[in-house]
Amino acid sequence: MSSPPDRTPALAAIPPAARGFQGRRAGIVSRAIASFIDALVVIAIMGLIYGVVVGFVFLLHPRSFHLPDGSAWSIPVVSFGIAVPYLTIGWRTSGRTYGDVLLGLRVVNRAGARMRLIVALLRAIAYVLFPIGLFWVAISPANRSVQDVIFRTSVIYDWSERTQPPTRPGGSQAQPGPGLASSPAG
Amino acid sequence: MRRMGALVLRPPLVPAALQPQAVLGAVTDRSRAAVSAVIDVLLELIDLNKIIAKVDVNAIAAQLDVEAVIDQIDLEALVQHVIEEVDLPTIIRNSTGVMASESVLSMRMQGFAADERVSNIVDKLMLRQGTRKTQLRT
Repeated sequence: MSSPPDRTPALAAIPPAARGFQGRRAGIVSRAIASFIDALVVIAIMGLIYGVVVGFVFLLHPRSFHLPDGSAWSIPVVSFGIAVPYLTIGWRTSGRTYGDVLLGLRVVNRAGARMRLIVALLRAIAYVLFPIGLFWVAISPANRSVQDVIFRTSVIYDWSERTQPPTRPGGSQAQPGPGLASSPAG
Repeated sequence: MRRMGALVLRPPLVPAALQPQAVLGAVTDRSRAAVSAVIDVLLELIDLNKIIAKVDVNAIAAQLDVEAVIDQIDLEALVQHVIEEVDLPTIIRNSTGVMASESVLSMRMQGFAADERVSNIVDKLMLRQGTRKTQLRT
């Protein structure tokens, strides 16, 4: 068994009051706020893309230019096309989207480590198609959403500055947050 | 000349305490102490407040040509120098960074508190006993 990673630098940035619950599964409020922020990010990216497309069309046909209409179907398609890669990349690389970073959350797999690409992709698709599954966190006795149950993932409090969840050889003994070792069993 | 001076002040084969340089140093130290003691005595005898009260500061100030003094100062260069020394951008950057960091920490703490509150309410409604199992299985 390898020795536990040094957590001193990570702990140094976390207020003492918050160390006790690091590594535990987050509740509904934090997760809902993080998801709301992610939704705003996706909307902002969509707005940016829309602006670029409209500007490009205007430059090509300035005389006959008019704002695109009758394309309501494109909104869900484009938002899906943006949200899924955005969530997948965030969860696969650092375990965090922008909303997660702000709320100090991290998505980890069953072993508390970074999830595989395919799992991140499927989880992202599941969240975009069935966002209401998030609210199972409020009811679940283990703070897990429907997607967490299906894909065996967890969203934990992790306020550390590190860019990736801690991983260990074998993965099965990875521990999530820096305060987990000292926190009581829930 | 320097060598000559050094030779006179520190002649060879003469004990260090008897060298002219040491003697001169001792005399200088004693002179300083004596002058300092004399000044202290004088200051005790003189009532400085009385003297200052007799000085018409306003009259002196009226005679000053402040504008001429200001004209001689390169204010622009002075301000530029002060700004460079103070490194205002770094201070602004640091202070906003701390503010942002504190805001984020505050938001996270409030989020955690709200998580706990909602969990407790739901658990009570569902008549659950004990706390939630939020710890990961390791």
